[in-house]
Amino acid sequence: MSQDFTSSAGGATTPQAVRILLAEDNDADVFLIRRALEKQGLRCQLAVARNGEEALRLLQTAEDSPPMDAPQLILLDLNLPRVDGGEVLAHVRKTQAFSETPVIVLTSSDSPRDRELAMRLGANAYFRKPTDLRSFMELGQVIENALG
Amino acid sequence: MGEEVYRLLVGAVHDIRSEERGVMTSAQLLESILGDSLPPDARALLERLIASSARVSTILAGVSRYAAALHSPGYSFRKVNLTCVVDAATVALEQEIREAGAAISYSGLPEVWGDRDQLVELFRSLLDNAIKYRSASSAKVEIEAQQVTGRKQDDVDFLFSVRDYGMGIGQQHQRSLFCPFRRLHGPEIPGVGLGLLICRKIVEAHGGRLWIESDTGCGLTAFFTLPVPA
Repeated sequence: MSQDFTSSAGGATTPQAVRILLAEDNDADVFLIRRALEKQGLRCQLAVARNGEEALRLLQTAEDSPPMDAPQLILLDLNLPRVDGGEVLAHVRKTQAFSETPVIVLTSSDSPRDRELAMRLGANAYFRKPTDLRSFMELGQVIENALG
Repeated sequence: MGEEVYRLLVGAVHDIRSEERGVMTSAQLLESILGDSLPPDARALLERLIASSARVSTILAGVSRYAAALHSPGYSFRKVNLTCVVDAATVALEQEIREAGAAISYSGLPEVWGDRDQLVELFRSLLDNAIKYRSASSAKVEIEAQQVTGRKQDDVDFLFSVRDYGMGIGQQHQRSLFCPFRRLHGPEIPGVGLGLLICRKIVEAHGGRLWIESDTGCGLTAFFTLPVPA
């Protein structure tokens, strides 16, 4: 899967870079997420899937690859085209290779039910995308916490 | 609200919200990048852009809550302890309550059969209004409940009152209280003009009625009924 990761914060790939799969269809949100990672000082290789189908394809590739190439964290928008984030999350938790991989669900939804559903499907954290910049950058800390 | 319209509304709110987030955060980034090099008139324009964007976000949040209130198939009914519901509503308004120095009193509220999240939204919205439209001298809100005879002879309802001692609303304005996006105040008091309408829809979805009693300078009491669980 390493060829699907593009380097993000810190420039060139290093052994310490965290492999993150980001499933997000909104360009502005992808930009903000990259920025949050940079602000947090997280060195990472970021693979971006623009829809649920692409996310599942990248995960399949990762499953077929050596474990050292698998994503260490998944950032998952719930509202994805083609295959929605809920289905991707359910697949992740059913797949042995990723059953323990931290998943942070990203959403614009303020419905408590959506949060409950995401946690029931196995998300480790739920980040409601705020509209203001400073609050959005708190995602960096959420990611760092999920990585442990 | 039909399922098709509900899905359309939820989808539209989501997509508009995503783009609005792009506008807001880009404007804020521009502000931080340009910093002090911005001439005053350009800074004023950027601040106006950010303020308008924030307003769009507030309107979308209101529309989202309205859609959820109207979408009764989405309600999940179970026994709900209303003291816990009001506790949750006050937690959601913690900052507003603290800044206003508001005193919210309630005790011995009953259990009802209802959707917990919507009931939290009901009380949150009523308390938010009471705090926003408080008078200079009082930010006190009292919540009470009693049993009354329902519309049919054998029915028993709970009658709730949420009473504040704030600005109140004159009789001449009360007709438009439940009209969407109709506000009596300008931007000096934040709001969208959906709060009471949302509250009424939530209560009606629970089989109850909501009305208000108020006058200028005399505070406002929101009354609503909810059926007693069988």
